[in-house]
Amino acid sequence: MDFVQYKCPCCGSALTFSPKSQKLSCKSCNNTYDLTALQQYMDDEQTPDQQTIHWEYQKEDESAKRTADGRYICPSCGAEIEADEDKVSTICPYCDNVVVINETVSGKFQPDYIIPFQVTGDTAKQMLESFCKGKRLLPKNFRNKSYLKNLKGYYVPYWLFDCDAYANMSFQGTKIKTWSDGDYDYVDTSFYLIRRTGNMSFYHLPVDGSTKMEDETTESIEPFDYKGLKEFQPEYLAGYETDKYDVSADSAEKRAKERLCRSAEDVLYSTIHGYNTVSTKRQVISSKRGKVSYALLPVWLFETVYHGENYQFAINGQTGKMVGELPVDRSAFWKYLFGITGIGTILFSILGILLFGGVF
Amino acid sequence: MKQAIHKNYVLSLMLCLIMLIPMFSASAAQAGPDQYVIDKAGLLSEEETKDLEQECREVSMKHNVSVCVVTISDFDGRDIKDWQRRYFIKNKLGMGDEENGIMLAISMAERDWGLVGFGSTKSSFTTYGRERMAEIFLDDLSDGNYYDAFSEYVSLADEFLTEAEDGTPYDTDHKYKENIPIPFIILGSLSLSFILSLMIVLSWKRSMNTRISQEGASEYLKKDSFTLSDRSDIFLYHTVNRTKRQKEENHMRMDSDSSGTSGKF
Repeated sequence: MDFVQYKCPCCGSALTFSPKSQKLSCKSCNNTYDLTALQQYMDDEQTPDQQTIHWEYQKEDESAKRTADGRYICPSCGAEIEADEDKVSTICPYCDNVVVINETVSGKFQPDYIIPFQVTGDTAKQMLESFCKGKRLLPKNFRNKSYLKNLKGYYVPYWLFDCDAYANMSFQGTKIKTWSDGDYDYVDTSFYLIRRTGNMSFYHLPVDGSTKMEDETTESIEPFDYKGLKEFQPEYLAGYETDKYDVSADSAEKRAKERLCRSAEDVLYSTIHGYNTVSTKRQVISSKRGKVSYALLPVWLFETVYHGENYQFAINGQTGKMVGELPVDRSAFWKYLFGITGIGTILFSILGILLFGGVF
Repeated sequence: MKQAIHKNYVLSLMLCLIMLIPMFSASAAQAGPDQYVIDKAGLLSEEETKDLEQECREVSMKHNVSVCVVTISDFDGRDIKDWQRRYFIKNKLGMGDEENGIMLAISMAERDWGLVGFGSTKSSFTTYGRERMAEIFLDDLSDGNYYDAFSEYVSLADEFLTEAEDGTPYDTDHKYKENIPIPFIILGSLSLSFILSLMIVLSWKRSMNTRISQEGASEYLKKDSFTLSDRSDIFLYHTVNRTKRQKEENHMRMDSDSSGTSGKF
């Protein structure tokens, strides 16, 4: 004969069926369990976390055409110019005109969408200048405005992920009651299994497709207003630098999944109320109608190298949102730290002696 | 003639004796009690009692104020200060015409302590003064370092009496050593300034980096696309934890009247 044994969710001891209450009870911690509740708890415990999210991206597989020696002729001045094979457009060093390299914006590298620049170069320069104003820890060479020349308009390759997501999640919630008598404080903690299932749709979740751009920078300038999204036309690239993607859609998926799962969890979490604590137990997320688009999104980018470290500062070329990291002058950092400490010590000492030193 | 000389001699002798009576009584009062340390609870060793007795005697003689210590197993009363007043008078522990004195008594049964001033000494040990003295020696008393506590009390009594003799007894407007030493003020100012300046400079440094990674994708969730298809909240079990309440520390609570202060240690 087979024996079925159930373990107490509270203390792990064996449960026994009580004919009187028609419930399972634990002799160790005195908790009783409704059969349905226990079954749901067991089901939940046995279901592992799952993320089955897929996106499809299909383009005609047409390789880019390149000249035999890898050079390009500037249509404005006829000069021979060199460009990296992942450049979509570049500036001719002879005539300063932007050269759009058609071969790389065709075939599998041709973007689906583009958001044209809305913020002008002058505005971007003013924004960067006003951001740097008053920054006491900026290195000395930032005091003249020569650094503004490094600000470049740049179309950043992005992958845009769309899907309908299904999320089934369980959480553990606790409700806590406290009271006291003359000698003891009591804490009564009730544990709940909270289950939520829902559907939601995501539209154009962006992940940058360029290794040159730091993810922290490209995510910080989000969001873009997709009302400005247009079908790609190479003419929009004129005057700006552009790279083709060097991170494939497959590689970018990982980051898209992370952000999507976090949002799905947040949405379901927002439907839980009345608990003192809530923690996630299990997450089953799947998707359908997953679709990936390739887009070029506008960014004003300022890059500099200081003490061997690369610093990026970016302005969303559509919304004007400004983010980035500027270098810190270490000598200025220590100078201000010790300077303020010295002045503070003198002032606080005088005040302290007057108030607590018994002088008066 | 010889008889007259003898008479004069007797009269002069009597006069001298009459004149000496108040002098003797005054010096007897100034001599103070036989014992300044009465350790009925047996808290001190023989050597400690001897040393403490010497300390009390020296301070008492210096100020003509009896500085005494009494320990007892159980004073068996409601207010140790009242018991001290009766004990002080009954055992003639005071000095001088006004029976001046300061008495620290402790009773071990309920761990009571009392500090009471007598005679004109009351003005030397104001309510503030007694409470301030107690704050200083109570830690040793609570820790069972009885000799240290009593010795500290005698030393404080000496300082308080000296200050009172100079016409400025310690009181709320003339506090006893509550000022912070200047080196401590400077050290504290340096530490505070360093922390503040570090906070300021780090905030400047933080303002140089405005990048923040996005955790989720809520901006890209289609409006009104979310539908909750199933929800359930199932009670599983509960636990009750019980922790013993901490008894309130009350050894610093003090009860003062015009000439005495008492409390628990």
